Amino acid sequence: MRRRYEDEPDKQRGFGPVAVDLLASFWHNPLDYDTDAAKRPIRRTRFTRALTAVTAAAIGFLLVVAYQHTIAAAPANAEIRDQLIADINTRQAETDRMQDDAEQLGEDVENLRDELLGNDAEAAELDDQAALAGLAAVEGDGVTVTVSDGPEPEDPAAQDLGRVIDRDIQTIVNTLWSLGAEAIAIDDQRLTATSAIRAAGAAILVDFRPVTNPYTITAIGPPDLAREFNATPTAHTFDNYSNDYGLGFTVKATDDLTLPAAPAPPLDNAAPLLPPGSAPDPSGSESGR
Amino acid sequence: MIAALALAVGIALGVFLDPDVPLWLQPYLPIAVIAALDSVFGGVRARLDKKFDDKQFVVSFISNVLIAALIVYLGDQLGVGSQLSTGVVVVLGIRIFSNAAAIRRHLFSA
Repeated sequence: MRRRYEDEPDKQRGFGPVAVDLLASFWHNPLDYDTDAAKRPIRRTRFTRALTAVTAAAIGFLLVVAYQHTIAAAPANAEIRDQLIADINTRQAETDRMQDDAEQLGEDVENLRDELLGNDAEAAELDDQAALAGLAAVEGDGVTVTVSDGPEPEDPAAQDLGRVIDRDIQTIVNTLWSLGAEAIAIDDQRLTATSAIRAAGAAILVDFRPVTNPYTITAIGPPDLAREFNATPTAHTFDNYSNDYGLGFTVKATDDLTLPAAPAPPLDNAAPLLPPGSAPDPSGSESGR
Repeated sequence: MIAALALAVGIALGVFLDPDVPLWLQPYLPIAVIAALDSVFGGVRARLDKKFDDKQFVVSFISNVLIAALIVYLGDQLGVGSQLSTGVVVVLGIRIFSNAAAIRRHLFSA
């Protein structure tokens, strides 16, 4: 093999079609030398040596620049991603802090109102109403329902039937309401009469805030809520889902649950009815905001 | 020997200066690297064959880089830039491998 190659560098063994011969000629004759090097004397002067040195330096420079360029491009992407994640976390922390502030202020308002009312029975009635409406934190015994995504299908193209969707959560929540639950929260987000559970892409949003797998639904209601819930068709359906698609589903009676208050909904059109005797509010509907 | 030293100097310069690559040059960088590698392997092989020619080394490096850049530029204008880049990489890659094979035969006679 070697002998043949060195003895007859230009004589290629036929590979067949011309296109293959093109590749063969690349392989056998990679340097575009003159066929006979002796014919053309190689002169090496100081100048040509310097040229070679400059070219070699240029090649080294080029290789390093390309290397550094490639290296520099990779962390830049990761950096931007990290920055975005940090931004999201900062904003989320800010939102949480403001939410806490709002809750604190709401409590202050309630306390002041109770003081002004000076009537314990009326104040208690108001507190009960607020709790029912989801505007006050509540505690009590109830049930914890946990649903989680099943394992992903092995075939990525297949429909993921073990995935929890917004309608699953809606069904469970509606069943709990129908069994007399007085307060329900999903992943510690309290539901009110106007709460929306919906999907945006693959994420499930409760009142426009995402909740994540596994989904924990806590409800405070009548003493045997867990047993009653387990007897409903909804629980049977989810048991079947659990058996068929590997979806996680547990129901557990839980004592001393504490559910947070939901943020007060903004009043866009309605104005609170003023108690008789107080001066009418000139700003009208604006007072609701 | 001088060429190897110069290569080291070039690498040191690149590390030391750490230049920014302008955006318009970036598509040509990988092609230029392949062409440069081809020249290096060709040069080493020619040296071992005792056929090394300074002029040929310099001219082939410059012309390879220019032609490769031209092909990529043309491909970009025609909308087949990535395909033509692949073609350049394949052709120069074959040359690099066959030159490397010749170098291997010289050094290890295997």
